[in-house]
Amino acid sequence: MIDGLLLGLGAAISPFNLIMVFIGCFLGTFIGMLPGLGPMSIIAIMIPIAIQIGDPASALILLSGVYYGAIFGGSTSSILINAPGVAGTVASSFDGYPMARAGQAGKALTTAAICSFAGGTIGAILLMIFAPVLSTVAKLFWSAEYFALMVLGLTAIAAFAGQGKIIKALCMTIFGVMLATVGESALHNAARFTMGIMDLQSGIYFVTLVMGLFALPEALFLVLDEKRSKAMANNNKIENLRISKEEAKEIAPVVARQSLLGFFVGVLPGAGATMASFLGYGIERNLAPAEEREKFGKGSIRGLAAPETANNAACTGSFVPMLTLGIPGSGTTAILLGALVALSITPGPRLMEDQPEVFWAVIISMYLGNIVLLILNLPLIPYIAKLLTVPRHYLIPFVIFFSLIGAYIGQNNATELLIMIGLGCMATVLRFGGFPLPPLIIGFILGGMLEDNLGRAMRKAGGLEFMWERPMTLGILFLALALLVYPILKDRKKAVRE
Amino acid sequence: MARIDRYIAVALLAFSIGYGYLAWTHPLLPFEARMPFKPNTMPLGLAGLGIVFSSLLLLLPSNDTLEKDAEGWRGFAWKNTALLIGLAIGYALLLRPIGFIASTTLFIVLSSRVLGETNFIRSISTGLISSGIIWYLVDDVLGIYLVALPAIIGGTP
Repeated sequence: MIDGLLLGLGAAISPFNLIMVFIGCFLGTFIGMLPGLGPMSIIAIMIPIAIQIGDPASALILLSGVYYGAIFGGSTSSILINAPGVAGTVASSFDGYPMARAGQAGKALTTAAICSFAGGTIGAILLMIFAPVLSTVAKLFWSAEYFALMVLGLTAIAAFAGQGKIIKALCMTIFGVMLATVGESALHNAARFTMGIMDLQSGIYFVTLVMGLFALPEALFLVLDEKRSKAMANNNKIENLRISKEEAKEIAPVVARQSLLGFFVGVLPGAGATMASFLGYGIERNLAPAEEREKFGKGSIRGLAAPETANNAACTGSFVPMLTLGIPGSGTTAILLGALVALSITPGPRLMEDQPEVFWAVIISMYLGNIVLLILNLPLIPYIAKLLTVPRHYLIPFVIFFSLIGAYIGQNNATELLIMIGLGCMATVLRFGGFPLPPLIIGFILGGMLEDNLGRAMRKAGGLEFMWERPMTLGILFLALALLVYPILKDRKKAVRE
Repeated sequence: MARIDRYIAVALLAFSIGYGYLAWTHPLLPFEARMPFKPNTMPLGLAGLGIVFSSLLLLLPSNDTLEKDAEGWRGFAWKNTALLIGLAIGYALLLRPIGFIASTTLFIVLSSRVLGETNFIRSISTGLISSGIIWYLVDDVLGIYLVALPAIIGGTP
């Protein structure tokens, strides 16, 4: 392994490559802040430039920088304006945005940067150690286990089911899964529930939904409630960037746990950063002491650290099936796989033996990407957080504008904007009724994958028997049930006692 | 706020019934009808769950407190909010016919005016500069096509 690392270092460390990683991180961070442009689109845009470079190590270093930068950029828009541009950063907005609203934008961004760094770096170490072994474990997961894993991911809704809101949270989750069934599914060619609207043929676009549910209602509430938005404007001093010793102690075990969990979830093809971030959030909420659990969803530093660490570790984990089996575990790694092939590299079981310098250069580029991202972004945080000090009469129009344009550039279709405005009005009304919106988006994101895996498992088993045929499926389903029911019972018991 | 959650529960119940009806009447191909998992299997299950839970919302006494967002709603700036929603709809409808730069500038100028900006020169220059930069970044740097100008002066919708 040491030889491999030295080989990778030899291939990766040069002034040119260091410039590449800086450029990659910088571009990734700033373009990633635009809602609608996630790591996948940004990497796809950068591929022609990477191919022009020619040297595979330099090209991969540039793309890793862009990848990690884009993930951090996505977290920034989630935290500052509640506009998560990609599914993997939705969970970061649950506590990151309330922190920003409470005048802790700088601290939230610092936490995100440090947790992303830790998750990515620990993930890279785990990748180095476990890559060959894990590729065989990933093959043990069939569609039945994937279905069970999606159900486990849905248990994250328990975090929003406190204070007697369990039925509302469940209604929202079901509604989210219903929205995910609109259009064609991976298993069936015929479109469903489109009402004859051609633009719904391929389903509801994720960015349209997420902007409609989070960013637009937030902007509308700022207009509606002038008192609150003016109080918020006074709260936007960014002097508080540092994480205190107590907070560092509090998030250290979260980072350790979520790096491991995120990495192993990321290894499973199709699960990825989104699944890891929701699972991480749900698990940390369950593990938190009662007092801290109350803070989840209202600005808990643990609630931000968990998804930020898990999604970065999962991104690194998703490289395992790509590098060792040649299977892209996520959309982003599929694009990266295409870039590798264009650079005349064939990922797969023989990559480590045939082209060890490339394999190790990828791992070194991950370390470099994470380190440079931290060096670049920590000093920039006060300036990025200053976005919130823009006067209200410009901040609100720009939040609405970025939400609209995020939905537009993904599909190049003006109908998306009207759908988004409709969803925004609906979400505002739901907020008035005290309906939690995160379960809706969790249901939507996991709903498509849930149906695909349920369909495959049922077709294979001829019915629902798959749920108890394999111990692993049954075990995960029991775990999901326990994670959903335990906190509810605990909350109820506490309420009865009070 | 007079039990708005009950009205939402009724809407969710109606939505679930309508969704269930569409799932039930979804045309199946002959081979699909014999499959253990049909295109409408999960939607039917979801409709059932939706009906059960929205009915529970209606039937069980509500013991939760309303969101803080809903407090003091009578003092809310409803007119400005409606105007902003109208401007967003206008932006969606005008984006292609008059181009990105003009529609974005118009949206920024009018919405900032609704929210209290009185200096037109500042709002027009903010709109023009920001829309120009974003158009350049998206269209020229990233290669994602965005029509910049109105069709009559060279834009292609």
